[in-house]
Amino acid sequence: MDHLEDNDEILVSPEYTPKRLTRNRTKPKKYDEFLDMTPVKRKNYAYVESSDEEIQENTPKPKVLFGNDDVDGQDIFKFKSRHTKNDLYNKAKAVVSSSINSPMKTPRKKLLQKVNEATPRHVVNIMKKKIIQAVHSNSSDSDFSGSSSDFIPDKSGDESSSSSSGTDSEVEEEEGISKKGNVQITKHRNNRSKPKDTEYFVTPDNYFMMNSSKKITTSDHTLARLKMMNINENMKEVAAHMSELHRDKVGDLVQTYDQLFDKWLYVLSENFNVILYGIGSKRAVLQRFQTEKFQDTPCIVVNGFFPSLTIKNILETVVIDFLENTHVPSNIGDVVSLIEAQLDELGVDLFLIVHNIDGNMLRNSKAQSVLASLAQLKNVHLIATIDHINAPLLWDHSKLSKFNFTWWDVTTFLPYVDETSYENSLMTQRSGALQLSSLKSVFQSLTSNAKGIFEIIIQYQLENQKQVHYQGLPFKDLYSKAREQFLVSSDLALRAQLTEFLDHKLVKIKRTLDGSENLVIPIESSLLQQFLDQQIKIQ
Amino acid sequence: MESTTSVSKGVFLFSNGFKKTKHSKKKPKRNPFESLSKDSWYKTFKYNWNVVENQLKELHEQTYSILLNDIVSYVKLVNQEHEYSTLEGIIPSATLLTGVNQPDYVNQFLALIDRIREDVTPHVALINSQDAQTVKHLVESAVWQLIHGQDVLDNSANDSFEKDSSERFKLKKNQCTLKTLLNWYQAKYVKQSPKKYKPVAKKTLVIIMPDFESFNCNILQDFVMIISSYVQSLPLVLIFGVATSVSALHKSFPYHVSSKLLIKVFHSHPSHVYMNQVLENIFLSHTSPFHLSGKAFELMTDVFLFYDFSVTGLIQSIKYCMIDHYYGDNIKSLCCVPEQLDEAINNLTKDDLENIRQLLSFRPFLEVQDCETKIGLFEDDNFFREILSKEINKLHDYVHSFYLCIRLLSTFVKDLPKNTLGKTVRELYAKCSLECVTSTQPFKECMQLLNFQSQIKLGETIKAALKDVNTCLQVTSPIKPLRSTPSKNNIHNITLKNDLGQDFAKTIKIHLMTFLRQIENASNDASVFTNTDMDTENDLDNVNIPGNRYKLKEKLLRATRVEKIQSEYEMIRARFVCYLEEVFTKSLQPPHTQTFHEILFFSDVANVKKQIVGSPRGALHTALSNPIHYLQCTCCHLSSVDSISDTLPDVSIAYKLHRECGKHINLYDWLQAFAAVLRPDEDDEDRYKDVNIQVRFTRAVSELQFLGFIKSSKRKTDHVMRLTW
Repeated sequence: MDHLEDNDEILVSPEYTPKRLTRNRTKPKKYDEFLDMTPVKRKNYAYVESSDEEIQENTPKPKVLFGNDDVDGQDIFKFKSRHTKNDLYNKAKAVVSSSINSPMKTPRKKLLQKVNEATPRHVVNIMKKKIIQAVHSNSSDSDFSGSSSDFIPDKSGDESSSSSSGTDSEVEEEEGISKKGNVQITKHRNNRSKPKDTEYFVTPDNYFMMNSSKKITTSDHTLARLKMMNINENMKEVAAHMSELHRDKVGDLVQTYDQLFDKWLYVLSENFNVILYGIGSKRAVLQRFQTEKFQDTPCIVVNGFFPSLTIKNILETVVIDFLENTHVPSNIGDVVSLIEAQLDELGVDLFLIVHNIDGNMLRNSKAQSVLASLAQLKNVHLIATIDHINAPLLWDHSKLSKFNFTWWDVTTFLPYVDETSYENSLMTQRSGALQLSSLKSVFQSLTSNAKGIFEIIIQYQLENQKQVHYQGLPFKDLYSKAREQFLVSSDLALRAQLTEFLDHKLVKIKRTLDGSENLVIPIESSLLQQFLDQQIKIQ
Repeated sequence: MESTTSVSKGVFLFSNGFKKTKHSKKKPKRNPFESLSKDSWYKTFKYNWNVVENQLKELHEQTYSILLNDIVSYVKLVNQEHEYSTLEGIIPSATLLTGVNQPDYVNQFLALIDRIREDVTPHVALINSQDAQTVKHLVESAVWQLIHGQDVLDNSANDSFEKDSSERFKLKKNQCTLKTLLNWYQAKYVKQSPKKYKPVAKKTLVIIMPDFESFNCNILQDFVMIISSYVQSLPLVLIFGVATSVSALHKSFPYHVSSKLLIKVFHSHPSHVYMNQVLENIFLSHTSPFHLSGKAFELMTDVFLFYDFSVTGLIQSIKYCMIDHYYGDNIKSLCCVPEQLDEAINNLTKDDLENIRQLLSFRPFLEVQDCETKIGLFEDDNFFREILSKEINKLHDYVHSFYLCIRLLSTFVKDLPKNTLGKTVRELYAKCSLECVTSTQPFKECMQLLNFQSQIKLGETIKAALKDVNTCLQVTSPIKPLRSTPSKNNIHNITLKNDLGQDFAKTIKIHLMTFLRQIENASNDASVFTNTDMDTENDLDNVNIPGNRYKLKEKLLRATRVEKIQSEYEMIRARFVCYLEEVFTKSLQPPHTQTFHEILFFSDVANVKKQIVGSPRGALHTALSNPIHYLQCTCCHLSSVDSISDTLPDVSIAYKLHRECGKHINLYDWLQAFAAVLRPDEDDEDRYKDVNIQVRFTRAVSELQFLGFIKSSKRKTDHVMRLTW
């Protein structure tokens, strides 16, 4: 191991330290411990280690590909082996307590005291344990902060660390025997040392352990517990929250991207295409790019996030609106060659600005291959943005080589106002504000008789929904009830009223096994209750 | 500019005054790139890139030509043999094994089509897998191309067919079946030929499928079966491009299908060979003025070897480096071929010269000069220009001998055991340009090993090395620099290094030749010498067979002493190795030690890497977990990556909280935690009532959904599913 490293240091210039080597060597503490505790795995571990070394010796390693400024994979793909109900709560609590007590000090210590207040004995224990560790092991990483960067490969690196982890487990065993409150310790350990949970070495067992249980181990709270305001209307009014300072800084940040415009143009002129990534809406940046640079050039703006966009729309715009042909050939290959021929003949450069090339409607291989073959053309220049984390999976190597992207990190932190405006946000959808308001508006347009009929169904459903196999209100019953209240006079009239509900999907008809029709309202009971309450208030 | 948000459409056209009909008048106005083309760096870049592109084209042609000739002659052969073929329903087919990265081979197939069109038959169809969703599509596009490929040529060739072809142009795609093809073929060849031509004029029909693996194999099977029933009357040939190995063909075709195929396999170069060729012939040569520094070069090869294996990608990356090198920097216009250097230097403005004086590598150069020269360099622009021209020419000379010596080194080193320095020129280049290779251990080991090489072997390597030197000299001789040696002013004061470049190459050539002659001549003497030695020893051995241990020891001692006496060959060899070491130490100085290396060598790796490799996921993660990295604000200092503070952007808080959760996240709990972070001091009840917080949370969650971290789930009410670990 050592001589290998020496080699590498010679190979690579001094200011550069080989990332991969360090990454390989620093195994998260937890993993070592875990293996030490389970003797079955130890063999496996040893095997992995040896094969690892073999590979290191025999295969060439990328030298420049992984730099120091790369994001550590361990950071992104943190794998928590077990999640409990209280994780979120603990985290929040940790933040709260740390921010109240000591905004600047290291939060972990504070947190320790805070959480474990009830059992001060543990604190003592922990302190003891730390002392023991410090005495026993001279290795640099006696605490559990698994951040890989502060692991120093000293001369006896492997042995000492393994021995230290050995003492760790010993200490823990002792503790387990002597203290009864052990269960609680382990419970609280979750937030005592978060990095302990990060395991980059994913054992398959762990994965299945996490995903095998069908049971969802989260609390049973629902949003219904909130006194729900009608968020949907407020959404638009309240501007996206951002602190003053951040607004300024974001302004500065966005400003810096303007300097890239000339370079983008230059890169585009050399038949590369430009792709922008990073969090925050990049629409504004691109719009400025467009107004600044494409004042005199034909360009096409595509909103990839537009929910009913099709690739045909794009081709139609190019072929019919721009090139003034009468129709678009049905075959994709023909379209592309037509565009190529005509643009070439006219000697015109067409700029294609695609906001969210990873948009929902463009997430299929056909759309992407069309875009790729368009982008490949000499006279078509593509500037695109991506936001989805898995967006790069859209392209295989042949598409990528057609796209010929240059990647630009354009992080803006601007809110995705237009991009998310179409999509029903999870929360509002969940809260049912939309459903409620549409229910209201349909309901208001009904005749009073129809309203009465609908209320009958609602009430029946609310009363009986608790039943295990709720089938809905039988048509016969509805008829008799409606007749009682003089809402309808005949079977046919009721059916006529019902068609209106069916058309608006306020009511569904279910047929039972015996052939009778049952009416169900496909809306959650809590919402219905809310609706009913409001109706009563109005009346 | 009108807005591009709409609820009814997603595509917006800004024609900006462009009208198809009157384009001819306004045409020149419309090039947005025009503003670029004025600067001198841009012109130089364009010029140099064009040179590279032409070289690439030539190289492509060279590499393809042998293979393509083979295939074409095979197709020709099939064409002739077809008349007498007795096998029924067997389709002759060629399998071309390409490398795994197929986009690289598109050009190869296009060249193949051109070649076949020229030499064999005008009827060629190229079918990509995306055009063949069903058998119907496959047949249609094949037949259409076979029939119309003819027309394309005919239109240009002779007008007599014009009527015919225009008639055929009406042939719709959905009318293209093999039956139409048969009819068309018979109308064209079988019926005509007895009258006009000899029967030999029958043309083969070639169908090429460049990406075999991406085809649906059921469709291909059907297609092959259908074709095999026509092959009696239509002389069809199939050409498959296979990325992996021939076994792919056998795997996807069951016996009854593969028995219909007569397969001949052709191999094209594997990707890495191709890459080495491209690098060695085009980029790692002194002919191009633009050079990659060691690190940049390693980045390129790393991307190739570890990411995509794509030569096109490699070329594009290098092109990007070149773009970046020249971008917006007028002093880079000096990065040109030596003939244009003087002009370029004259075109430099005062500011440009000042920029050059700021270059880091200028400083060590300056320190060596005496006071007077220093002042001259700073005050007198003309003097500075002269020095500049001289130095850059020197740099060119250095580059020339640097590459030559790398090639020499690789010839000497590549057959040595263990390959401590690497086998290929590119590996050597990476090493040599990073550090002074001659002072490293592997280099010394290599020299030692050279010191053990046998006579014949060494002779061969020297011959090979001579060949290298010759090619190197040949390449340069046509564009031999006509340098006017500027010997005015106090130019004599400037300390000059020993000359490199052309002359250096020539001296090396001469020296190598003398060494070669010496070694060859020495061979006899040396062998005689050793032979006699051997004989005497043998005698001794015979005498001492029943000897004791002491005698044996003595004998061994004597043997060591005997070996110390060098044969003539060994002496020459030692001298030769010494010479080599000297030469290499002189010329294999890493580029960053040279004055003005910034002008010719591109080294801004960190910058370029982001654009070439790109890490969208990493950027997102950094932005979310540590916003200060981008925002540079004072409020968001975090003690560790995992910690949260209430000043963070909302998305970032929501993101960090969600990382604490398992596969499912309870929205209510999430909101609670979110609110707790934002309003730590309030009462629980108050927090949740705040609409503002709810709205902020909603927005953050919907942004996370938009980014793909979560999605809605129906498993449990008010839960979302986490899409990451």
